[in-house]
Amino acid sequence: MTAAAANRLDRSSPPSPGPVRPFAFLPFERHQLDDGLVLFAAPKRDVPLTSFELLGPMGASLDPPGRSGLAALTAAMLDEGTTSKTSREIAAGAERIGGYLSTTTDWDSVSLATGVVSSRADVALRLLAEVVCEPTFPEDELERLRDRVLAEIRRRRVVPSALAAVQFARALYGDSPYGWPVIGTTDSVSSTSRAEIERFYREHLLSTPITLIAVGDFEVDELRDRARKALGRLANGALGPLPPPQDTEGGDAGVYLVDRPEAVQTELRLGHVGVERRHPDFTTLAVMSFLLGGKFTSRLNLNLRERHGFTYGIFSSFSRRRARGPFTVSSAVNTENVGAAIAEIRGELERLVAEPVTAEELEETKSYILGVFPYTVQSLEGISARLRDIAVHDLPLDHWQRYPAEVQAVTIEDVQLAARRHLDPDRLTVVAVGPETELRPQLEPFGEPAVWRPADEPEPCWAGSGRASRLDS
Amino acid sequence: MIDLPKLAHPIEQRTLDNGLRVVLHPERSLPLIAINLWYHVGSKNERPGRSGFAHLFEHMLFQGSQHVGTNDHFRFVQQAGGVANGSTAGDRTNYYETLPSQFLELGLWLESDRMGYLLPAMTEEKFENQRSVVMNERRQRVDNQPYGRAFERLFELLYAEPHPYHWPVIGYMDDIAAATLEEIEEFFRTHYVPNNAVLTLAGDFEPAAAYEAIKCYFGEIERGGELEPVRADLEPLAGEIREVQYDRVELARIYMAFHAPSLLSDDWPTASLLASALTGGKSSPLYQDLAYEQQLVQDVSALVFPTEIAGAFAIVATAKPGVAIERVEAALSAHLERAATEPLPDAELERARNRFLTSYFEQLQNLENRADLLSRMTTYHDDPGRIDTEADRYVGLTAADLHEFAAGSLLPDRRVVLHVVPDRTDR
Repeated sequence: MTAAAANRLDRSSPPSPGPVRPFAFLPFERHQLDDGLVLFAAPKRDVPLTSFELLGPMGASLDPPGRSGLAALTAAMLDEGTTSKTSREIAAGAERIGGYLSTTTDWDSVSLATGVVSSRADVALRLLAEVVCEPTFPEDELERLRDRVLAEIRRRRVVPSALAAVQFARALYGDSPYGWPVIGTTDSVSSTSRAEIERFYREHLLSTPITLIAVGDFEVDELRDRARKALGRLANGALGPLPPPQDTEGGDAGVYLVDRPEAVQTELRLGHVGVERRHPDFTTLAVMSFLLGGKFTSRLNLNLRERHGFTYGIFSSFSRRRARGPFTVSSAVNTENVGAAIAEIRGELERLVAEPVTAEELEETKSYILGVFPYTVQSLEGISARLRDIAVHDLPLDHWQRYPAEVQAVTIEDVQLAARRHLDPDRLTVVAVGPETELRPQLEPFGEPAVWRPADEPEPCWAGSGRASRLDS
Repeated sequence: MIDLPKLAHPIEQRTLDNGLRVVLHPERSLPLIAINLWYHVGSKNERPGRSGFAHLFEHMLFQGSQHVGTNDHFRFVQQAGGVANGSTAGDRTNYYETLPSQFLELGLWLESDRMGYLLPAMTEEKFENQRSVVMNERRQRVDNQPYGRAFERLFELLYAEPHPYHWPVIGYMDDIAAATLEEIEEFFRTHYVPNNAVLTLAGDFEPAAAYEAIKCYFGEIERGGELEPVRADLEPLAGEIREVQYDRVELARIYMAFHAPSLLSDDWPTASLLASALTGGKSSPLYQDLAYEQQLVQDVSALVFPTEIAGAFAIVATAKPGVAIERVEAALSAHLERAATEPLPDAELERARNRFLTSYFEQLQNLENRADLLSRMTTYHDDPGRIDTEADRYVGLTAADLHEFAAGSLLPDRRVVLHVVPDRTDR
């Protein structure tokens, strides 16, 4: 405590920091338990809780044409019945011990997770293993689930952020898995059969290596035995290779207007195809994106929120995917300022490509990323997410140990080079969800908008459908 | 029942001469420190026609103070590697940051500067900018979202004017437009005083040194006037109040709400546990019956609101396509009637209790949540140690307690029923 000791307090400048206490990412172990089962175990004993996450490569990028939503539907069916338990018994089994089963499907993986007090960890693990190893996909449960998913797809048709996401993905990736919604479409979900689901499960989950991520209050040796016992039967020697990342040819840039006549605000997305998670520039791009739109004092937020008051918030990011995921700028802007907002966003991207960032803002950004890192790994869930990143993208095991030094090493030149290589302000796809009559004149300077009217048309539009045009630069 | 962990870390409460209550909770496993300030002021301190002011004011507290430049609050925090935010509710406004622990003094400097030296930094220009940001916040969260105005309307109907829970925390658009910079000054002088605040530190620090630093930064701020707690009479609902809201939604939704115990009441955990016993999880009785067996609803959830001078118990369900909302209402009513007629099976209670305990300790993994809960316990109960006994209040409840609450409070002739249905007319 330095300044605090002074008699009369000088408030004119911020107090200097005390000594730094170093931080290291929680140590963990990786064990190959057998051909088909990998265990990531991170013991953490300060709270008597344990979390498990079972990870398989059955991601949505494996959805075949006409069957978008197949991976998500298959994953959601896992806990709807096993050889020895009904759907209700499975849910009750997890909830009775204070946990819950959550299933998440993204592009590259499916994850089943649960968290419980450690004294019940064994029960939770056996339940997870059962739903992954012995699902029966009962026909009546499929019909129930299908109904729910179709209703959810319908519900999203009036949610501005959901409409923006659907149109943006389609605009960037056209008629390919990254261009389809993970949840599927009304047509694809309606026509998916039980046989297709069972085959998809056999091909992409039962006969592929899976990963168990365990974080919490346990003994690793004991857990290893339990995991091998519970999950070992999954591997039967017939393992296929990991699916390759899908090839992603970006669609043409264009301007897209999603008409919501009653909207009192406009949901906005700008961006283009970015890079894969494993790209050597990914860490530099992450630093760049934090500086551009990843924190409150980012260039975009200071400009559009704090200078202009156009929005409550604006963000930019590069998605973490096995193939080239999108670079996205997202915001909700009051409708009369949409044209001005697009011009400001494009201006910020152009500036990032044209001029080097200042040493001061780069240092600020790096300090922010490094300082926040421990904050993001306080909970079992936060730690599990970092291990999932390693497992899904096959990153080096010491990735998070090395990460602070890698961030620290990023230079002004690195950022400039990465911006030139990976940002393309002249080929931005723009999606605006709002009232057509007010939006059209503001969008036209950027290109003739292709219009999707979700109230009348089930599918979004994209360049391949001949309705979109290039963004004029 | 699952076993019950304790925090097992010291919790210390002290009070500065100016009335600022300080809570210290050292927990040194990570090099982080969470700083959390609760001001006991929220939208219930506003006047009709001036709704949204407490929240707009919260925005202004991030616009700099006498020694901190306009965008410097976030700049200093973020360049230190910290996160910061604030939030406004009906009863309290909180401000918080989590920093690498070597920046403890920075956090104290920032928070004390805006508690003691805010007004010299306020300008018309900043005020206009934040008014515009808040209007966009309202559009984004309320006006441009399906069902976005439902809870606002539900509370208008549940709490008749002039009860201060009648109006929404974010405020009405016209009121946000009418707020003036002069009101900032009055609001600040009245409510943003040390004797109306609790400051909590949780994380990696040495308590004696931290307390000295707190005295140094906050001790010189003058005590404000004594504050009268907000009181408001709440008449029981005269009967059933019904309304239909037309909105651009695809699926109809029903909101049903009852008066319930306030957060400070011993009965609040009872109401909360009943909500969880009825609808928490896929194996809960309402999900099983309405969503699974009868397939009437897409989702169903019951909730209680953590509010200070009155409470509410609400149940919300979204109809599946093609299902009339009246059928959903009848099914919900039947379940509530059953809850009021006979005690729930013990298995439902145990599920709810274990889920509560697990999620209670899950949230305490984050220092930010711990600090916020400590500030809450101190603001409302003057007892931060309650963070360790809070769970006991749930563990001791029986099916008979839940039944008694349901029988006394969930009455069909004293409730608000709001239907939100698709607006099929073209505008």
